[in-house]
Amino acid sequence: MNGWYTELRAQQLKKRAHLYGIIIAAVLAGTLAGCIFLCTQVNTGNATRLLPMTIGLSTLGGWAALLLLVFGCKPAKAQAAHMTGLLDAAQEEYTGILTVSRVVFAIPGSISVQKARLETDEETLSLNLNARYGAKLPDLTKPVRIAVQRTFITGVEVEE
Amino acid sequence: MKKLKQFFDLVPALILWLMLSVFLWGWIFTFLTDTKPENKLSLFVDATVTDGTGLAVKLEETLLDDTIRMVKVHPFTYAMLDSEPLRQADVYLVRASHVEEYREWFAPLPERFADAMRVEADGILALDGTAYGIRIWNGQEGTGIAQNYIDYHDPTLPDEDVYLIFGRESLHLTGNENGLDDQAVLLAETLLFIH
Repeated sequence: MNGWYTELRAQQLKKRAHLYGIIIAAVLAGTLAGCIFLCTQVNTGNATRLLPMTIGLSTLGGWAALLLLVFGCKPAKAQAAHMTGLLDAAQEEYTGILTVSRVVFAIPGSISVQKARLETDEETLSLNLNARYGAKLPDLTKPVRIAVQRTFITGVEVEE
Repeated sequence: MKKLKQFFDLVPALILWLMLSVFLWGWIFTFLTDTKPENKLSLFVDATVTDGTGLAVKLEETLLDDTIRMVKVHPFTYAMLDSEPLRQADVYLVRASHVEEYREWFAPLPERFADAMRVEADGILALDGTAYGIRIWNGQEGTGIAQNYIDYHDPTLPDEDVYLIFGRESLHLTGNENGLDDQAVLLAETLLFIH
């Protein structure tokens, strides 16, 4: 089965996290450079105008960096770490009816997951689904074949 | 939905960053827009300063040199929390009714300045026979200097004369104990020609 978790994907996520890191550093460096430049231009006549400009620049730059960190860098880093950690684990395949909870909860410092349950002919398995792949699930009204690595669903295919 | 919740979780951090920016740059600008007393001239005004920055810039056009890097113009209320900057001012513009209150901070008029200005006797503020100030605002006629920058009318007070007086603690008056130069006289002379 072609799973979602691959070495290539993990590398791409690592690169994306690294790229976000570079962008954040550039935004912060640009903000600081801009603020320092404004400070060098200060004189009695323009101080009251340059102070709000400097505060505005510093605030917007900081906010941009914070948003990039929280919505870009950290999720990519967490996904990469999670994926890398699971790549070496043994993969098992099961067939059955899959039910996925709509509730998403975040593992502190890691990815967000959805609880899932697979009912096979013999047993019922309690599993986790990386919330990132929740939208990629096929029609779950039919039996599906899933790949599982350490309780995480790493691939889903509709059983033909 | 999840992203929106994440964003709202982030709002306190965004507000904190805004507050840090305000305090940090406010603090840095306080340093950037001030200097040691020996390198600045300060004028304190016992009236409403409508455009202190404009007046300071106008004065700086004439007064800046190797020693003087800044001219500061403040109303008396600027020194509400700390009277030290007010006490060390180089030049004051003081309402006639407040002269006695601040008298201990004033220096007699430098002779050079008094001679150069050739002020008529009724325009001189004399305390115990010594000239201390010259009138720069005639309360009855409503005429005087720097009207574009200072509003001498105070609705809570009767219209009265305002005097230019030098500071006793000024470092820029050679007649003073710690006086280094006579830049305060130049400040006063420049001020008299601003309308």
